[in-house]
Amino acid sequence: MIDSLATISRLVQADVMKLSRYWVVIAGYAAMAIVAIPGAMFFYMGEQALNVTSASGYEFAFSLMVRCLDFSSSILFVMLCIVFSIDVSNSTIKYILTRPVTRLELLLSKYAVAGLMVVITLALLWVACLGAGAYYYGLGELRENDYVIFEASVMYKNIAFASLFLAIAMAAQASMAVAISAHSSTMGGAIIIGLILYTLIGIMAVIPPTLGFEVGSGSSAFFVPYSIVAFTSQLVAPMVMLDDLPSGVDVESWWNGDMQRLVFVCGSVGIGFFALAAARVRKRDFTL
Amino acid sequence: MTDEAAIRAEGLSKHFGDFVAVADVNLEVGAGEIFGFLGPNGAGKTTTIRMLLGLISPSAGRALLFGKDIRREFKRAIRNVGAFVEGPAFYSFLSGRRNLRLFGTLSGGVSEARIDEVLDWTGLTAPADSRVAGYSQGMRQRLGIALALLEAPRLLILDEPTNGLDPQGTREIRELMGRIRSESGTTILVSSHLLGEMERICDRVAIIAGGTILQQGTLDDVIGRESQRVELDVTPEHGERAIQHLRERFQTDAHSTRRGALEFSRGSLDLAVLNRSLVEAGIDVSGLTPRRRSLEQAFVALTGEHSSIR
Repeated sequence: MIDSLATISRLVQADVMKLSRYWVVIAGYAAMAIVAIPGAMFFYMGEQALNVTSASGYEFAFSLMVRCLDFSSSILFVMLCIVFSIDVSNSTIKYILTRPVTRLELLLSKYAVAGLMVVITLALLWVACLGAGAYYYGLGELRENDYVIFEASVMYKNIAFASLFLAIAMAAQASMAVAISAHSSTMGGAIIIGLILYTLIGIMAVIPPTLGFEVGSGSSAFFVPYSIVAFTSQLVAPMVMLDDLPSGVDVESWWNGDMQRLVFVCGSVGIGFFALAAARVRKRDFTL
Repeated sequence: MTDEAAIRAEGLSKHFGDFVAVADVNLEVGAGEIFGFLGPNGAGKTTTIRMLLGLISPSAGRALLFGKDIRREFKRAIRNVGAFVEGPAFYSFLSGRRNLRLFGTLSGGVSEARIDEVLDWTGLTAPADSRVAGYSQGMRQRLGIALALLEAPRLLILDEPTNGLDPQGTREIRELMGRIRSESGTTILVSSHLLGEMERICDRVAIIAGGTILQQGTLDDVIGRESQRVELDVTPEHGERAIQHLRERFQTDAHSTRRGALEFSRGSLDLAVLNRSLVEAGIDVSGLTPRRRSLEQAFVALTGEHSSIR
């Protein structure tokens, strides 16, 4: 176990060394930052033009975050599609697999790298959004006139919870991207297949939630909407939870039905794609 | 040989559907040997090497490296192995040095001194900090060999290491293999179709064709000592007498190749005795040269004239 963790850690270290110098990854993160910063500026200008100002830096940051997540999650998805396929398409995987590294360790390391990229993305976006909120409206305590509604710690605690659930939702997308990557022989192929699937899954969200099927019978039966397949849309759920916070309504519980659904759907999808990837990596002849 | 043979393949076979790529390969490479794995293109060399390294699963049989089963004890079996399989492959956006450092990380890291050493051995010190994207095929080939050597392996498996190298580069790789073996006792399995090179460095060879090992052993075993030819030069007017003498006295198949020049199979003849006998018979001998059949000739005899090999 310790030996495996050490191996995975070394693999992650090597991947970070490599990906941090790969232009696609650098360009991806740069794009997130470049779009987020002028985006904040335009968002603020738009508010000014409409004479609708945010009540606080938090409200501004949360609205901006929703928009940033929208485009950043697709950029991140593309970057994650190359995490595994970069080694297959360069044929460097044969060097990795002729070191004391098992295929499961290799796959787990790719998932760890994907997780790291998710965390970096969220951190980058929060820094940009909260930074913009602080710049235009200020952060700190949430006040109405002289009355303190929430201490800053309450706000950041809720942001931390939201980030945790956002990370779970993004991890499911990451799992799909790495699984596609593990099935592909080229980076281009992984990206194209990935984007097609990502779009198709996104489209499933338009199926009305009243359409679906029942599982079980009697009092234990529950309804499963077809739109549940659109797991990528779960990404907005944690931000919806934050909606009322800047207006002084605290989140009652983060472990409510919406978040339970998010964890169940994204967890199942994440595990499912991991299993698909593991089955492929275990048997695949990477030298062909 | 013992269980501590560097490589032991027992009945290794690999089928891709109905196609049999490798059939019942049995190999044994002793520690410290340079072992040549020879065969024409598509003979099954690389498939066998991929099975030895655990890159693919055999359909039947097993492979052991230093007594450890590559499938069951992968990590322990592969730990002391450096491999260069199916050509070089690197991250072209990184420098040669950074590629080595990155792959070194996978086994816990290697020192900069060791990286410098393998770069020096492979003649890549000067371009080490340039991006691999700008390397020639030969430079990439050398970097691949540097990578295989990086962790001072006890066993080095090199699949066609001289592909893409010029004659000078080929010679340098040959010398490097000799140096590695003599300095560290590293066992080397090298596959190639450059028979002249293999003949110069290998202690033992195996010849594979159509997925089957046709012959393996020392060069003498494979080439066949008894198949050596002997060239004899005598005074032109003694030619016929020499042929008659050799046939009657030594039961050889001597025949004339040109005036005053003869050729015959050596078999188990003692050439010193033969020379003395000719001189005592009054035949003036001006040259007596044993000519061993080349590995290439032996190879062609085993695999047929039409195998694509140089």
